Amino acid sequence: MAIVRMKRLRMLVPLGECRALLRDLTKAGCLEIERNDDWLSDSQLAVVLSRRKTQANNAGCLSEVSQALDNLKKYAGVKKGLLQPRNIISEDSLACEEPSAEVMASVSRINEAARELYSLGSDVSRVQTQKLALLPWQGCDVPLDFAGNGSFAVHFGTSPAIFRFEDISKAVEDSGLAAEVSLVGKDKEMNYLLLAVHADDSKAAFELLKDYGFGKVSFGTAQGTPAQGIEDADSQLAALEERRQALIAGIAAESGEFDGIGKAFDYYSIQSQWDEIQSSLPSTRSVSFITGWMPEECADAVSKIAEDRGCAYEFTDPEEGDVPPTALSNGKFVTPFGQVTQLYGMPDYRSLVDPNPIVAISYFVFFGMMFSDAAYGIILFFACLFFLKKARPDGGMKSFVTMFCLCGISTFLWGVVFGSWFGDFVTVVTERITGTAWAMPVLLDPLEDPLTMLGLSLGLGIVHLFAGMILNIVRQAKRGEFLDILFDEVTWMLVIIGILLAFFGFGAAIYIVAACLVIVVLTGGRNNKGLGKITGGLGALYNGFTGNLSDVLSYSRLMALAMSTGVVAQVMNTLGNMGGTSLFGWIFFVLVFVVGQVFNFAISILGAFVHSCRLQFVELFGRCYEGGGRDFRPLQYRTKYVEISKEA
Amino acid sequence: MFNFGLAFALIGAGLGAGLAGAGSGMGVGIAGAAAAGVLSEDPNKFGQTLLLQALPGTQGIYGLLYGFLVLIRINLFGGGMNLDITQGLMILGSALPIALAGYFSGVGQGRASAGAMGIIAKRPEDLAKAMIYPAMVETYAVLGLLMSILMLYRIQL
Repeated sequence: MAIVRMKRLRMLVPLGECRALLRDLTKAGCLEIERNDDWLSDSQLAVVLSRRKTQANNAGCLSEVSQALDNLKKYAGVKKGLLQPRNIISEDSLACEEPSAEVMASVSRINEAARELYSLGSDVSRVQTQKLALLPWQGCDVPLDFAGNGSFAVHFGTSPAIFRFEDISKAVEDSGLAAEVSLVGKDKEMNYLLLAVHADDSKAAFELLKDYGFGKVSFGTAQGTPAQGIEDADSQLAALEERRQALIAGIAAESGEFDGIGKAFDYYSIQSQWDEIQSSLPSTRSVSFITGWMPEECADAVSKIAEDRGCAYEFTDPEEGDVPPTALSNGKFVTPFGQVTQLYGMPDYRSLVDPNPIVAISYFVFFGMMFSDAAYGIILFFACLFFLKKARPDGGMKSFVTMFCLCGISTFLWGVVFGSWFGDFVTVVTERITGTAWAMPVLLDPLEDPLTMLGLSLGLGIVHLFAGMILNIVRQAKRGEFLDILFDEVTWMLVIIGILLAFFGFGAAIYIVAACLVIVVLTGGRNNKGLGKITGGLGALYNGFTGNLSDVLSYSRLMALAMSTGVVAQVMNTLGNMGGTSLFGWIFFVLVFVVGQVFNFAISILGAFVHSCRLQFVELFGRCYEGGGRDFRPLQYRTKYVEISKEA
Repeated sequence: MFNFGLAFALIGAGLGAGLAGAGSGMGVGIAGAAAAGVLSEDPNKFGQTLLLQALPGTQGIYGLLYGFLVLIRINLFGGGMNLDITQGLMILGSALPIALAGYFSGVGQGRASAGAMGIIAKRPEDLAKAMIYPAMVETYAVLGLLMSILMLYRIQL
């Protein structure tokens, strides 16, 4: 029940055995390998040490395969369902069986098609631009490549729409030049004009039209009339679209290979991980050096692996200045709640206490109290259980879902206490059907008796805070800081206990409180010098009082969130009940019930999750947590698409 | 006969639910604008940003909770009690903590959520920490609600 003790492993591996050793270690899953980059930058070591690059192209294959998977998901809509379990294969088959040629052929077909789809996209936009440019000229029946006829030349051109065509045409006519302008099209910005002009007058005509913003338009190599060009573009677009559909269908046809490609992904990701480690190890001509961290209890397993592979090795304890990773080992109930602590950050390897047991119990209690509906608890429990059985998640996901599963039990229990089953659903429904309301039994109704509810919330809070303080006392005792225990934690615990006693009628307890407060003032500045001894004491009094008071009051959120779950459910039921008991009224009732309860479930579970976390992070960890550790991430199989069978 | 007491009590219920709801509305809006910004960069973060956006929504629920408690207390569903003006004003007074704390903490929590969206954008693994900052703000809405409920239940009707 605590932070796992780590050993440092140093090992010399014969070069030929390196790969096999890495596989054995991955299988055992208990060694975190360090990168010793600084060895190679040391000029003396670098004489004998170097990195051995591996030849294999596993990383390249990995990126191909992962692209193919992405393409399948994107174009063929292949998805691994949330509830779909992964295929189970043996470790042997994952580590040794190279993906078959068919699978890899399918991968390259998919990627080839996706690449063509990509270039198809730019073709489509090119043709569309061409089409757009032709659209205003639609009414023109002169071929675009028609330059003229003998001494007459034909030019396509535009002028801004602020000039009226009548004016332009009149100007050309009045000038007496052998030229004629006709209007082909017009839109908000431009007049689209056709200019026919005799070669001798060409220059003068352009000079004249310059005043009207006339600019020549060229259509490059386009041929035929604009209408033909547009038709052409349309048929090209249709062909491209047809090709696009064919390519997508081609990708979709490969979706049967999804599982195989998924397995290939896991194969190449573990192979390229090994490649990466192998090529980062400092090596001489015959051996590689591996160093890393592992839990003490794995020593036997690792020694056996090392001996089998003919390695020289030693274990040592962490030295001063080392930063071992943190792993937590707890019982079956506590472990899933370790996720909450992990969200906040791992505790330091050298921290002397493990807050996880307290986190687990209090998270369980608080979450249930805030979610507080028996029916919601049952739904949450079975939904999580179903997911665990059906989808078989592993790692952090598994812990997380297990945690919510457990919280479902707590939610159910609290719901029974508060008599809340979808709020007052039972009462409403029985009244609708039989005319007389039949309520579920209630032990404590927060709405009827908010003061008891508040007392319960704050009481649980004080227990939680005391647990944190006691943990801190244990920590300080291990460090030998006995003065701090006496003057900080114990004194304040007595203050809180004294106030509680006085509140419940033991008036004499107030003297204990007063005495303790005097102690706080006298000792609060013990680490300061001179005048600081006095101000320090007053500061300690102020900080301690406001800190403890606000911490305790903070637990009133237990009451607030519990009431809000119950009341929103009740409001929904009341609302649904307004439709009367006709057929339409019943439909309305069911509709409001479903929508309203789903909404309330979602909003309440979010609140319960966030605020249970907050009570741990702020109120508890503020008292007894030493952060700054890093997560222990051993070399192990982390597969995405396949699951490794349990038997050795 | 005018029932001024009942009218004041209803104003109280309306203020509590209305102002706290308005605060939540603004808060969720502020957070939503920031969430949309994050999402435009990385569409995969919809779930996480939605979680943060929902946080300032609790004030509205607290307001609703308080309003509902008032309605039950004055038996509005059964026709409404006869309250004198003093009683009505006392209920109106009890609405102030949740109305004010709900409104302002809703807006404040919205800002904190919007800021926390930045954490989601850059360090999505720190979602838990990002949720704690807005949750700190909510404490004051909870305290306001607590005060309102204590006042409401201590009024002699």
